[in-house]
Amino acid sequence: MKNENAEEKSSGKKITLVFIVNGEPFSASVNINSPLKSAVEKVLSESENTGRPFSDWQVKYNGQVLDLNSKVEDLHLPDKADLLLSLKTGEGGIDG
Amino acid sequence: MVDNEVKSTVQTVDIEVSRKKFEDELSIFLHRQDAHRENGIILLKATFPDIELLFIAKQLIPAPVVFSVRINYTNYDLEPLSVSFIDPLTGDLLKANRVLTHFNKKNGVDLNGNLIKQPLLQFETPDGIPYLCIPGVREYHNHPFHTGDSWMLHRKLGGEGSLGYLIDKLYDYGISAISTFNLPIISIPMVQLGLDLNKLPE
Repeated sequence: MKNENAEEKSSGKKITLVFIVNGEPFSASVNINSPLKSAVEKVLSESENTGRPFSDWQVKYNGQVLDLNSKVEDLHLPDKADLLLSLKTGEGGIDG
Repeated sequence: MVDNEVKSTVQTVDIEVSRKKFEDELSIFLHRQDAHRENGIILLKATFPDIELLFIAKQLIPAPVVFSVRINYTNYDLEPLSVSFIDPLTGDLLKANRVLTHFNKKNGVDLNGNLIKQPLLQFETPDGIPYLCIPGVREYHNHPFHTGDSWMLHRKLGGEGSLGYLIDKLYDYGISAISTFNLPIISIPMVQLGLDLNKLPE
């Protein structure tokens, strides 16, 4: 059974990723051989978050920022992983 | 001197509009309330126009309450949400010197290669009322330094300024990089929290 799962993964099957966008979960079925950004674009469209440039968004998993150009398989994400999809923070801080 | 306490306390937007947005965003939060709780984010109170939340650094033992906020929906979303730091027991506004974290962001490196942190918690004096200095927060947009960055440039774009957005930012900058207790050697009833600078968000 384990071997079957390994084969299934390496042949480019899909996993489900759950993107949390402003606190709201959006599930996406993702081909593990595709770049993460494909799924992000789909989720942003589905969640009607198209008003900001794509480059303003970032994805974090367990606090780490993920490279959107990486293949999903290379990120070693488990099935049904919760990913935080959020806007990068605008300028602020010292002297406002 | 900017008095962020008294601005926008009069509801001028149709109250049903602000109330509906309050209920919608609260509903999204409640849908994932257990997941938030596992991350140390606990709902204390939700009665229009306020939502009060408690943030705990679960990575430390014992897990400390790091801060508590009151998020106010008055005039939302013609105006952005207000974020104020409160005593979770009494609900009183906290002065800057009572807030344990300064919501640091990573801001490049100095000449020696050391990471520079930049506080997003801003205040004029240590015993003044602090505010979170990021776009999407009412106190940021009300500040005279930010008259060129109107809320209307952010409203409805990517959810910036929504409850979910603010919770993400409060957690990212206020909790995620906390790694240790720093115990002072003098006897004062307040511990400090240490940061792992490498974990600071940018």
